[in-house]
Amino acid sequence: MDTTGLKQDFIYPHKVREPETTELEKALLASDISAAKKVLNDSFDEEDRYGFINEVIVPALDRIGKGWEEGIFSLSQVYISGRICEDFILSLKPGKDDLISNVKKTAIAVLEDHHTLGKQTVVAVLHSAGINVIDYGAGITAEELARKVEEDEIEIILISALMLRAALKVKDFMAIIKEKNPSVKVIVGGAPFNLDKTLLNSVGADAYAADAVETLNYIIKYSGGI
Amino acid sequence: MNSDEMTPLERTLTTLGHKEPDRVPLFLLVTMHGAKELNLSIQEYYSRPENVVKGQEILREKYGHDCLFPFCFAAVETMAFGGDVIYYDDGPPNAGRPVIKSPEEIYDLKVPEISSSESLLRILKITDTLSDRYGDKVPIPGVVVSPLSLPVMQMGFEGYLDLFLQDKDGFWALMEINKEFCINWANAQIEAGATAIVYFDPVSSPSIITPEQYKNTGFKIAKETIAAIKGPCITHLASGRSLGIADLLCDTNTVAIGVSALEDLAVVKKTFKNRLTVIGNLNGIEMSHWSKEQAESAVKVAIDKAASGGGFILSDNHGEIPWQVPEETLHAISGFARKYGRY
Repeated sequence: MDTTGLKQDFIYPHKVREPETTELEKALLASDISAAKKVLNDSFDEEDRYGFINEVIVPALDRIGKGWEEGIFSLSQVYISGRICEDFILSLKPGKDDLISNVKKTAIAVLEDHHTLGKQTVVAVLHSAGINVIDYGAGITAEELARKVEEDEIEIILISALMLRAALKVKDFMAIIKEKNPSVKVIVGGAPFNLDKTLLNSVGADAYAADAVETLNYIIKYSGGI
Repeated sequence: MNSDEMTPLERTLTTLGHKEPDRVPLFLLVTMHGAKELNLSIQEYYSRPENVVKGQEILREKYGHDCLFPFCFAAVETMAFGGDVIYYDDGPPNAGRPVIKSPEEIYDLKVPEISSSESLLRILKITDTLSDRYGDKVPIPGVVVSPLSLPVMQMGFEGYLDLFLQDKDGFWALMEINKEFCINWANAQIEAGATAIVYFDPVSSPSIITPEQYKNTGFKIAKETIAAIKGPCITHLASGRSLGIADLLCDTNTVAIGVSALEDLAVVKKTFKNRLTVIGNLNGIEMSHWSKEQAESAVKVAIDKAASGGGFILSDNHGEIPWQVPEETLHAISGFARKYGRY
């Protein structure tokens, strides 16, 4: 079980960690949509789309996510930052064919609960990084999720939880999926896992991601890198 | 009871006055556990006020804590707006589909009449009965969800954040409706005998919005709303951080603050000392698997950090103890609170 996290060892390719807040981060943190779009448009390089994602968008979202974990930034800033970057990337090339294709097939869900902000934030960041993710929505049972994972041949499943009871449903899911398809990697995230570091072991998932970019890093790691 | 021992109400009022009572008050905010006591499903338990009254009586008899809690679940308020609720066998009911599906619908929204809402009338009946029986000795905190935080259930979190960040007119129109409802609902509970009102306001926490956003929204809303509530208010950030908005919180005229397990209780207590009573901050999630020794350590550490000088109520960090927390742990918390909480 991978419990080490990836906070310090950011493994997204071509990552450049800027020590100072970038213009993009400033605009995102101010929830200034038009300013953020202008920075994105100005710095976008059609010839090096993935370099742009890796060196501009992902580092900005990473620092904002880490800032939230440390209590420096708020969830509203994390949410709108992901949404702005997601909208920008999807506006460039809406077809799924343009998204990074060599990560393992990934899906996301909320088990037996209807709090979806965490899930949407992760989806936005993954889209911002050019990665597709199948969204199974919220309120799904462990059995239904295991069936969908099998039918769709999902290799990495992300489970977001806000409530303790929903987090504990991961244990039910793990019991089914590890019997049916033990190679599937399960990454969990959300408040209960943040408040109780032993919960990951209790439910038996493969990894806990503290924020959306850490989720991205685990996806890349479990895909063997890009 | 020892004749020198204070009543729970005296104990709580003394600490709210920033003086040391006989021992640290314990607010064991057990809600769903009453269903276990009566061998009912959570849905059945909440369907009749008599169940909740009985459940609260049994739980206080069992654990000897310092309040009775008529609160059932937060979605009772969206039920008043016409929303539905999803029940589970092992956790608090969730609000169902959003009652506001698009920002345009805000302008057609009406403030619900308290007297027309079965879900709210049930809470008032619980409050009234508990108050009649115990109101002179035991605090009975009522609960409202703040105008700023209610839209998370009314619209869904994403829809609400989009409104909050991008549609000022729609946001303030909704706040006007929610403020009126919140004040009416709080005052109805006060009239029914609630000792104080817990003003649940997680969205105001710096965990959710920035201090600057709070200053321009949640702070103003809290100040106006709390001023119109005819009883003392206790602000609770439901696991959210508080330090980033500490001074503003003190200016809302709230008397106490429910704080997060994510912040150091010693720092929190020092920050709010003699300004707000601190309520917290036992980790409700970890509590579900605590050993007796872990419960002892957690209670002792919290008391060591925050009890001196009064202005402290020992409680969980969220305002509701999860269903999964076992009876043995609740006994342990209660026992160690008495052991280490003596002044």
